[in-house]
Amino acid sequence: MVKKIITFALTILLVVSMVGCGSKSSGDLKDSGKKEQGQLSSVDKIKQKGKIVVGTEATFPPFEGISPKDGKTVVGFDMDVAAAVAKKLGVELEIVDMSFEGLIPSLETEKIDFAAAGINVTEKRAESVDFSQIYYKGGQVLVVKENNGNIKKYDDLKGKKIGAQLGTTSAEVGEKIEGANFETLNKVDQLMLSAKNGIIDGVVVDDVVGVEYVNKMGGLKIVKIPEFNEGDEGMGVAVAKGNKELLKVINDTLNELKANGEFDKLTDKWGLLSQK
Amino acid sequence: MDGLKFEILKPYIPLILEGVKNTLLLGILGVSLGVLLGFVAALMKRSKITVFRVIASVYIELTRGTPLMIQLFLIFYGIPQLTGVNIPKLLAAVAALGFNSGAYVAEIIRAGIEAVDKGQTEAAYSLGMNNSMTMRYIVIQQAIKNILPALVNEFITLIKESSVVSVIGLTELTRTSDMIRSVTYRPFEILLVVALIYFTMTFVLSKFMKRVERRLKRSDNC
Repeated sequence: MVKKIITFALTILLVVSMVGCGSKSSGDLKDSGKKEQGQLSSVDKIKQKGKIVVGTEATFPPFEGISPKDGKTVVGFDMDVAAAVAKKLGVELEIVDMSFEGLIPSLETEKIDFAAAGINVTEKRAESVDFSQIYYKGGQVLVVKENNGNIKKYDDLKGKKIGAQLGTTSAEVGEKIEGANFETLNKVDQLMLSAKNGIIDGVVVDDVVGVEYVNKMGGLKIVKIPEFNEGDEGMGVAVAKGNKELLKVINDTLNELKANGEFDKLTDKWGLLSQK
Repeated sequence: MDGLKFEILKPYIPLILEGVKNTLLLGILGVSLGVLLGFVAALMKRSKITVFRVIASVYIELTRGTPLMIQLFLIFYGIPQLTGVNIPKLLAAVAALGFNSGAYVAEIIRAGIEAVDKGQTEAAYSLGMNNSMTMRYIVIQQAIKNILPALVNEFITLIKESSVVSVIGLTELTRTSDMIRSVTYRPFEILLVVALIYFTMTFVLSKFMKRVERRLKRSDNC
């Protein structure tokens, strides 16, 4: 009897460890990027693996969204920038789509190498991750149902149901709205559908993304609320804290794109407001 | 409102099929791991060694008393935070589903064994068989009649529960409905299709279970 139990238990351990050994992504939390005696830098490790993993959240077009062509490829401005970073390193790009609030923890546990997901730079976030240069600065807007006639300015928001994406600066803005019933959801398309169907009154979201949904989903419109934009810094690409090598590669990539005109081509391609 | 437009789903049929494949994979792997763990746990619970009994009881009670999603998050997010080891999505999903299922399977096995008439074990002892022979030749054969239908039920439950793993980004059937909803902006059509697919899978399984039950019942009249 005892022998049988031990045999079974060992078999399970064996099976589990074999399946687990297929993963290449085990990492040491402490030395992300630091050069120690004989240790490889983060960039060297990426080149060795032959691929770089970017984390994103694909309900944020035009920065990242799921392509309507096949329903599964993630495309967008951030993805094109990520592809440029991968090209510069000469490795393949792997895109991992996850919930937005999972991005920073995933950087900390090295599930992903960098995160490009329309992440606004804030002091609080900068405590956990390092950011690249700002590559886009927009603002927050409110998206409401098309025929909504009673929300025109900040004070109209009292007593209204307002939503925003969990973990975003839009959510921070939404929480501060005086007198509003605020809630968060995981995905922006869920929020937009809720607004369109009148389940909530408005969605706080980044301007370009709001425009995208207004154009593609229909039944919605944008209301500009100036009070939303106090203290907005702009969007940056995030890497794990201390990962100086990869951060330099990303900043160099952005600088090269700006220098050779590719950056402007991308802003046009994806309909971002010009940064000049 | 405009009516239902199922044609919009056409370009995403490959994606939906991928979701079906992954859901079935999760079900099969999950139930296999669950049966393995459940069998070990059931044996441990009946063991004379107290430590084994305690471990098995703790496993069964804790697992049945906490939500599957929390267990999944503990494996997928918690373990990397504690140990720095990253767990790939499929492994985490199968581990969570199997680990969760195992606790229920252990109870299924226990109930199946206990449902066998006490007279059978008494008769076996009086014929001179010891504990392990009684179990192997008399009790288990009859317990299987009770256990097997309940196990198929567990498989059906697991297929439905596997929708929970969509939250870690695994492209199984529920997640494909999320993804397709986010590009078509029409939730109803894809959700209806996905619900029908889940129903087809569980319906086929429950029909199979009824067949198995009928075959097993035949031996009752011998």
